[in-house]
Amino acid sequence: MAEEKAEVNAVRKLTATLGTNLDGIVPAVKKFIREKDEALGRSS
Amino acid sequence: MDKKALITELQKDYKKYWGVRLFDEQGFVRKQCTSCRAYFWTVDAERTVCTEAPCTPYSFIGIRRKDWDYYETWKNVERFFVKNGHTSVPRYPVICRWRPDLFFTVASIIDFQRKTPKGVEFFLPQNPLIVPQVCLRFNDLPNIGVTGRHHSCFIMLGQHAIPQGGKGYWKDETVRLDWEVLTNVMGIRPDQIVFKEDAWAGGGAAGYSLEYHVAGLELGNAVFTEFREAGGGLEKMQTPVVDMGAGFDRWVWYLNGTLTSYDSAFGPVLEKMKKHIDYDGETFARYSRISGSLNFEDLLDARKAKADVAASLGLTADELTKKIGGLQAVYTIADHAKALLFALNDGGLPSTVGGGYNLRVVLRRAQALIEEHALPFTLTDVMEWHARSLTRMHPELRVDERIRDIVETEIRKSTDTRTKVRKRVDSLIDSKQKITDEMLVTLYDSEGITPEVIEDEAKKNGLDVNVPADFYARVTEKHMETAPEKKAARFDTSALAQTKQLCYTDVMEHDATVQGVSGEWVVLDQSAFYPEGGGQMYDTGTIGGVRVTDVQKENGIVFHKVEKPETFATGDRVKCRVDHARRTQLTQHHDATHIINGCARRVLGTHAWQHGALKDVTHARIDITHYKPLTDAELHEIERCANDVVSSKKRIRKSVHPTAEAEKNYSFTIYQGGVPWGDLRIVDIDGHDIEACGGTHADTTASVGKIIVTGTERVQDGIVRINFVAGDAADKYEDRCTAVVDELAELLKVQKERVPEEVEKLIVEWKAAQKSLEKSIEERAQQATRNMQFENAGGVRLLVAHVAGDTKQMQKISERLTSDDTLIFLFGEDTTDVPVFAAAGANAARDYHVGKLIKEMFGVMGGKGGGTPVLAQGVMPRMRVMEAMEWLKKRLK
Ligand SMILES: [Zn+2]
Ligand SMILES: [Zn+2]
Repeated sequence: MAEEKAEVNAVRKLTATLGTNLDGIVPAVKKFIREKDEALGRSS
Repeated sequence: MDKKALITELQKDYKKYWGVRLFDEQGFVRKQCTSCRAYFWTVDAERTVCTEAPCTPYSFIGIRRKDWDYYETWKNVERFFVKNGHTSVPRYPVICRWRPDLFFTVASIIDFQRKTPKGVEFFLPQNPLIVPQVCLRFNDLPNIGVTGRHHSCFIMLGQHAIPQGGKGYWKDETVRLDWEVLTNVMGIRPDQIVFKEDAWAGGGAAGYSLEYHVAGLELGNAVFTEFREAGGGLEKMQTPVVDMGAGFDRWVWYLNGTLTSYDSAFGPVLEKMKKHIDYDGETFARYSRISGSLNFEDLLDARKAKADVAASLGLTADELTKKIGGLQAVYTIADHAKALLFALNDGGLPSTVGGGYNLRVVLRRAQALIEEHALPFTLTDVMEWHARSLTRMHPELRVDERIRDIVETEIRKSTDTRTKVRKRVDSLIDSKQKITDEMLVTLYDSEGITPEVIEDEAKKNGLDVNVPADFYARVTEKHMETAPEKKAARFDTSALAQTKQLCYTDVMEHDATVQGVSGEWVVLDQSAFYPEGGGQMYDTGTIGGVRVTDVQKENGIVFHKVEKPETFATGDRVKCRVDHARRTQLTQHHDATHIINGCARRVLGTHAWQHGALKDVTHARIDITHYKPLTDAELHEIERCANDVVSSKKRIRKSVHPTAEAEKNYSFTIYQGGVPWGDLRIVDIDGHDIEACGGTHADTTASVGKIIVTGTERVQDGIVRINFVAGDAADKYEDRCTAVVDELAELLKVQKERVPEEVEKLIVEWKAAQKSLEKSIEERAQQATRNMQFENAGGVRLLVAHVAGDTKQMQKISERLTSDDTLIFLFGEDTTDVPVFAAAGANAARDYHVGKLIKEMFGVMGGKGGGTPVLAQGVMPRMRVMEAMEWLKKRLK
């Protein structure tokens, strides 16, 4: 069989980590970045 | 027509129905039992009562008639029937895959019945035949282990014939053969055998029957199914069928004369178990002679019957339980373990789905008994002992890794919920709420807690719980309710001819004549459009240049939903064009579904059974029965297997077979996608997966291109979903993955390869940031509270203050300061709208309602918000904060 694309494998890991489907990955990551920055900003 | 009415009707001409040649030849006489009033036939002219218990108590116990074990008994019986022209058919699975209305094979005749739109039809693969059909029945659980004769798993010796075309036979020959088996093979004295007149009706069919009773035991029941229900009455069937079913375990019991049928059926297994329990053998021997009269219809019945039996042995119910309870427990465990052994070997799973629920109940019951009696063996041990002792009779039985894992996983699940459940029961009892019947059903249903446990627990706490007498019947009824009928036909099809379907050919463009227009739907004389079905979405395209947006089929007629129905008139000649790309994609997804199904069964085991599927354009999925979440490794293996099937270019054969032939050639696994009737279209991926299926399929797996498993979800207990894409959709999916990974690489400013790792790192950092925020809020709160001063006002300690921070910060500060007599109002900081937070201690809240207070303040100062007597928040204009603080102090003085 054809080698599986690295990106497909990466997405499988990401969906498992984030508990979302393909479409939800980027919004989820953006939300984590935003909330992290906010929290850091407010705790400094 | 009910059974009683049927018997009364038939008895008007009893000789016509129950009279058989054997009775004439042997000089039988017809009698009425002076005890139960039933009519019976016997060679013993002196006999006044029938030989069914309790009219005749068990009189075979303690007498060993043959030196045959279970297997030898079967071989002798089998030899007799084969010598007399019967084919001995191997048992069918206990999981009844060929009848959508049944979960388990409950009788031998079920093997040979198929549901058709017209009702149940019988067909025999051989005529006449016998079959040692292993049956599962779970409607008698309270009787099992107690009565000595009830089993959830037993062999029904089926003797079946259809008198037709010079083959088979009818009642004369049936009764002659059975008489010979009983007298010659089993060696029963003729005067001991009684044939009772009975009848049977169900599933639209009915017949009269002769029950064979010997020494208190029913040894068989020959039903002559000759009628079908029609117009409120009965009419003769075209092909009547002999349905003789005998409880084979009772035959073995009768010949061995053991105290219970459990001892003769699972002797070697019980030997291993009995070593570990204490019981009073003498009491049990006396008990077993009267247990033949026990048959609990319900729990109330059971309790009363137990007390009666104990009394007749000169004991109380509790004393009897002490003396023989352990023995009854091992009988029950042995029975349940045997049922599980067969069910799991034949692909069943404990779950909340369908009959899986029954398996869950027996598994939990058996496990609870093992724990209650602190027995030093496991449920799988007992299953293993059964498999070994049954090896000559059923060499197919295994207790392998998979089955062990299923049982152990299920036990773990039940232990996990049990603590939770105990708490629930305790809190129910604590709350002094009345425990309703509904609650009992729910607890039993969702958690498997029996009402007896609740009753015991309640009694310990001095509470009375009344378990409804028909409890188990109610629960069973609830679970036997089948899925609601599919919605009624949405079109009136009475005036229309069947559509000639071209979707199984290569035709994608064709001419057709409009047969009718109904609302937005157009019917043609022939159509290449695939109507939605079997989880595959409908084709689209154009008819006469007008877009087709949906295609459905009802009663053999294909309906096309079109955008401009007004442009069509009956009789129009139109050009039809199917969207080729869409069809190809749907076909790829359908082929992939079958491929994945076959792989799932290989990777996970034969319990993996298709529960549902969807084949759409952008994605597809298959739901399969499985007992725990799928691991990454399993998903990978399924995906690899699927792509191996694709790259090995297997042929996909489509052929049409009559039901019987298809089952014989391909086994019941063809029913993965449901149970159709009539000529079955079989889709065979070169042996990898064979299913009855009406979908569109290519000629080779190569045309699927590639399959990507995109993920898994738990659908419900016992069912997991595999999401996947194939063909063109797989290419597009790869492109979307690439785009997402590219975007994340950009966003996180890392190389593409490091994206998953970096996201994990981000989550760790996010958690740390949240923690440190939490900590700094805490620290600031601590700092802020140092300088705060309460003042006494209006009988409370009042604090009106300005603090740095948001609502969360204010909340923390207020938490630190609140005590019974405090009233706290905090104003935060912001550029325009300032957050306000208020809290009252328990005593203060008796006099003041902070929610109403800040509402009142906002009314005067502007702003909005509110809350409860103890907690309130809102926002107000920054310009008036100072003024508001003063207002508050004044208001509360
Ligand atoms: Zn009787
Ligand atoms: Zn299919």
